[in-house]
Amino acid sequence: MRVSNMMNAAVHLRTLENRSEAYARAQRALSTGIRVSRPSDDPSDTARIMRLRSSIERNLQFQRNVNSARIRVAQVDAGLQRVEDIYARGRALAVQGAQDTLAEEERHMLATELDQLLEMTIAEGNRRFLGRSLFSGSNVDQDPFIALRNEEGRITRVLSNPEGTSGEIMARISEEEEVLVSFDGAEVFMGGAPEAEADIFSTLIRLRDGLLDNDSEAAETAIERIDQAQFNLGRGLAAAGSRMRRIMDVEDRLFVRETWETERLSELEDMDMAEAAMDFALQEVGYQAALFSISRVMSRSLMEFLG
Amino acid sequence: MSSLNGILDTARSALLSHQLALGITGHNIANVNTEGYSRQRLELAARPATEERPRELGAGVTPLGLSRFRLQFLDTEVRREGARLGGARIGDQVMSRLESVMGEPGAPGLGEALDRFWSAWSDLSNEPEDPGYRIVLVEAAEQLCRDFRSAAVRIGEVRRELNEEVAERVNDINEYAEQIGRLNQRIFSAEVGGEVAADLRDTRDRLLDRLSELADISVHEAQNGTFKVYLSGKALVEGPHVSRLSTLSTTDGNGNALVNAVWEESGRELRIANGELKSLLDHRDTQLPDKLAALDLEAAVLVEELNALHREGYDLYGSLGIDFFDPAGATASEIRLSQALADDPDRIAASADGSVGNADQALAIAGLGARALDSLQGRSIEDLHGTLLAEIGARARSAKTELESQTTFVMELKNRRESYSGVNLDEEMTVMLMQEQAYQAASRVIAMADEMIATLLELV
Repeated sequence: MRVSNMMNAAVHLRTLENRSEAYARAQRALSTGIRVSRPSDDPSDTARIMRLRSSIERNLQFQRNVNSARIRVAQVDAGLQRVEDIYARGRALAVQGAQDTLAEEERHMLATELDQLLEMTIAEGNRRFLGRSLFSGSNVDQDPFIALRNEEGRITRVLSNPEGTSGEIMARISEEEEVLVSFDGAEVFMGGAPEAEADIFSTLIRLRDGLLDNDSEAAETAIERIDQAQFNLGRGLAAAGSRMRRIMDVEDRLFVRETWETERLSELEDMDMAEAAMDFALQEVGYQAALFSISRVMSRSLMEFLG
Repeated sequence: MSSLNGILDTARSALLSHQLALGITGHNIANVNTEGYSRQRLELAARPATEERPRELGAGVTPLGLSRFRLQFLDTEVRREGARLGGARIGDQVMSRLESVMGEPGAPGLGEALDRFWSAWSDLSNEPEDPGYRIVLVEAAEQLCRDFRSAAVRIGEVRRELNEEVAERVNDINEYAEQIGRLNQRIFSAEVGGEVAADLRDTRDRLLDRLSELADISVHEAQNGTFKVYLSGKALVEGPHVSRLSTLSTTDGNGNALVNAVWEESGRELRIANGELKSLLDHRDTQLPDKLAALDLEAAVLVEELNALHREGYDLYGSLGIDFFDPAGATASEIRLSQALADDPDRIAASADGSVGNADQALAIAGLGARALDSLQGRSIEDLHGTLLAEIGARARSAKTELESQTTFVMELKNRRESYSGVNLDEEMTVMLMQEQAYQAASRVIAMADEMIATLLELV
């Protein structure tokens, strides 16, 4: 094939352009470490990357949700354990009050302590965390329990919020799972409604009134009802515990999944550094070889040999 | 028998012819780097003594004329593939612009804004009465709307630029056609005497190469050396005559100005199959509107599905939700938040039953992005976005591959043409040596004849 000077130059120029483009690409790949920065770098992986990113973002979101749910349920769990102690003390007072040998003043002292226990129970029931009521179902801006008092300031009756305390709040903790994070105060503290068998408030109020009246019979019946309330409270604690376990299971799974997905995204999106470095070295050699061969070929001419 | 004068005459013809040939070699060397130059040679022939007495000895050399090294079939090939190259070049430019418009996955874009938007709903579901999360959600939603709108606006800008380029290309075609017409005229005049107007022809071929990248043309050489250039089945140039093109402005359904190429005389539209002009029109009228439609679909589904869910929920005032997005703006370029909601984030309907702490509606909305929707034939909004990006990527990639392979192919063809037509300095040096030697030898002949004449004169 006949080779003209222009053609020679054009071919060399094109070779150099291709070489330096590949060189620059290898350099960019090595310095950014990113394999897919434009969709055309790998169209099908682009779709995969976008899906994975959404999935990772959702996963992080679920982890935030799990965290928030866990803190909430943990607050409830801790609160219920304190209430359990109050119940135990209440039962001890009832047992003491039922003794026939007790003097009237001593019963009055027990009644005063019972008033404190009542106040503490109400305080636990109406406890708020970050401004949200823990035991009022979904009516988080309202207290679940309303205490009615006489002129001495003694609690005479405890009502549950007429707006209801059974509304449910769900937290989405994974793609397919939701967990209930609200607690129904009327159920946990009253066994359903005021004056129910397991209503701890009416039980304590009646016991106190009995002790004030120096009535040991009343203390006797109160023991039985405190036991029922304790049993009912145990159900609430069990529910909180089992939710807690589920939340933590899911948290572990989310974490494993996040690790897996992040790795997968990195596989798709990131350069294999060893490969990139190797490619860069190869391109560098190729570029230099092209420069060398062109400088040799282009400088040769018949003119050098003519006198 | 040759006379001494005859010898001088023969040598003189050699001197003149080789001087002329050396001039042409010089011309070749001068144009070693001229694009589209075809090397030239002076054809020489032995000069017979006289017409009347052909049996006598020859009388030297005579230049026959210039020959131009050019293969027309290679020109035809280069031009046909040149049109494809022009089309591929535009395709690559437009698709790569479109990739930049979307930005992802290398830079933050619409997909990330969508992810953030769903996250903001999910965050709100944890504490639906918290005003902070409501403000964050409104912010995320406004960012999402902005990203939609800016993608739509930028696709529109690319489209407008293509439109302007159509008008420019029509002007270019006219300009080239006029020049080719003028060259036809000059070549015709120059070649009347039987000469070859080699350099004018080179200029004309170069113009045709450029013209062929704009639109698919076909070229026929007439007997008198002029070219007839056909475009869309009609003569664009015929001899010195040119049929000019013109632009016709129309508007599409959305009020965008569209420029189309028509024949100035008849006003009829061009039917072209290839070239930059064709590719500009195709991308302006098909590719870009398609991608915009895909974005519009994404926006429309989002507006409709989200509003439907939002209207089922209850806001912080305990009343049923209003539209989250303004239902009047169900396209990518018009999507925006409901004004009432942007003004008062408490109107975000997160609750499913009206109680403050309930966030079931927010939860349902947070899951909308990944949910298979009937209105999308079982695909989700996330799928839709990923597919759009992958589609743009696949197109951009095939456009790039097409451009690369077409560039290489045209390069190959041009090399073949250059291999035949181009100047090789080594070759020219060799030819020059031959010419120099012939010139020197002829001079020696003259010197020898001179000596012989002197010898003869001494006898007298």
